[in-house]
Amino acid sequence: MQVGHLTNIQRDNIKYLLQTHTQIKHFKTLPDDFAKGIGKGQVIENVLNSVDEGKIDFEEFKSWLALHQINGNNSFYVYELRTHTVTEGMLRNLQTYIGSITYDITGCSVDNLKETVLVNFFLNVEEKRGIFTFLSPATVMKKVRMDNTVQYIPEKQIYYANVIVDYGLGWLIVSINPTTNMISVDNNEKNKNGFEPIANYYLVKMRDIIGEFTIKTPNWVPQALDLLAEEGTHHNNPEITAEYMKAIPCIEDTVVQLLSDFELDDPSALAYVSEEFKLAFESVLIDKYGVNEEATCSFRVFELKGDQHNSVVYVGAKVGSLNEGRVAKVAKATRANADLTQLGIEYNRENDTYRFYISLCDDYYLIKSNSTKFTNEGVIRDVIIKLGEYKEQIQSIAIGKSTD
Amino acid sequence: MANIKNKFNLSPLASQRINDFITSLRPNDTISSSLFARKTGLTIDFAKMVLGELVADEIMEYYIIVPCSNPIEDAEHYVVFFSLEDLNHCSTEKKCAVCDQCGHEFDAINAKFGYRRRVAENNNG
Repeated sequence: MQVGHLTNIQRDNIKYLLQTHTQIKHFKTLPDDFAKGIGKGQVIENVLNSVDEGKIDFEEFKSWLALHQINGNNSFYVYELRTHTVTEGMLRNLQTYIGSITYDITGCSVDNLKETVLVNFFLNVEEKRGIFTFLSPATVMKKVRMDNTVQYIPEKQIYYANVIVDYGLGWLIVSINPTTNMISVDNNEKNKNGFEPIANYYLVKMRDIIGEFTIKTPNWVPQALDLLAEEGTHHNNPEITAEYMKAIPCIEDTVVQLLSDFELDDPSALAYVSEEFKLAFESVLIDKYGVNEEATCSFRVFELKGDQHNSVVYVGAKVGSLNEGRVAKVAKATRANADLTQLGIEYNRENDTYRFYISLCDDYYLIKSNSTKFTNEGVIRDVIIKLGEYKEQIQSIAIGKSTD
Repeated sequence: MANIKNKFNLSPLASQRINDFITSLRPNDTISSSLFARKTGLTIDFAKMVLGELVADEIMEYYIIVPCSNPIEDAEHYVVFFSLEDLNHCSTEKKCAVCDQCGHEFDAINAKFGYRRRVAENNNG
């Protein structure tokens, strides 16, 4: 029996997606009148009824149903496109025939979804990006209690993936949910790098749709993370800067004298002891004069991982950030002598705080939350833009050509 | 250093930065091309070229760390090679391309180059 615009099958399929994937906060992007109710079950019923009665435009709703999963608890795999690999013209052209390669999201169910399908394409010319939404068949291990024992059984699910082609900034971003107990997505299994094989799989799917494109290793990321960490942990107190600058000649003279007294004349010893002395001195100046909280940037650093080729250093703050105290000194020394391969940052935006990790991987960098806090994609976009600014800064002043 | 400066037509400032950074390295300090680029203000591609020349001039030496392919996160082990020849030999010889800690093959694709200052008493070549 068909009620209104939706068939029973469509209604069941939409209900499944909303029940299994949608959080209450996702509904806030729908008009209030259509997504009201107490509890998720009632909200879903109201949304379905609104669609059924035509209160919400069906095509607009389908677009929302596809796109809403871009917000939430996703991990973002950021690949750098080689210059001009993907252009606005290509995506505009794609838009003219996208309908012929897109599946109706309301027709997808756990039972009939046998392979990955594209269900939506959204071109945002203003933001210079196109967003592709895929649904894939997936298998998760579900925890089941049976006769006082806990067992895990495989269960089929539908898995969402959004791929953002940011032709303005030159990124291709795979946004996927790091679902607990996930076994595989369209027969692609996780490995020790987590969901990396699954993110790479969506690159392959994208090549099927938009044609060949090339990505390049974002080898500027450790340097950008260093700049971000420096900005995010800086004391921003001119008093400290003034005192520190005044002390530098004195520190250097003292270190030279000390090493000379013990016949340690290697320039590297001088550089090392001097560096440690300066860091310690700056640290005690921070203790005395304090960090200028008002001037501190909206990013703070709570953890970092430095790779020194034959060693690894982790520094983290369980509470607060790496702005002051002994831990700040260790973090700064680590940054000075190692490539940062992971940074834990806290971002304050619109009176809300988000914590996530930025990690450098082989041919992409990853932004993933360190909690299950609902995060709008715009928050992650801010971070990507910030890193892009650092990239420009690094590449504009570096000597020598880059092989792009 | 004069050879490097001439070969790459480096400015006095760039040349000075490279020299200062190299002399600041302690015998056990290992750097990547990325760290070298950051400290000297070079692009990473250019830094790799300069490092190659510093190795050829015996100012620096390199070694290669290769992880094993243990699939458990944070459970990989490493082996060090002191030349590309050794690495190539190992990655083509099945019997020595296996980690003696866990039995997994070494992952030569993820080999990483590290550089350190060459000093007389630190010759592992």
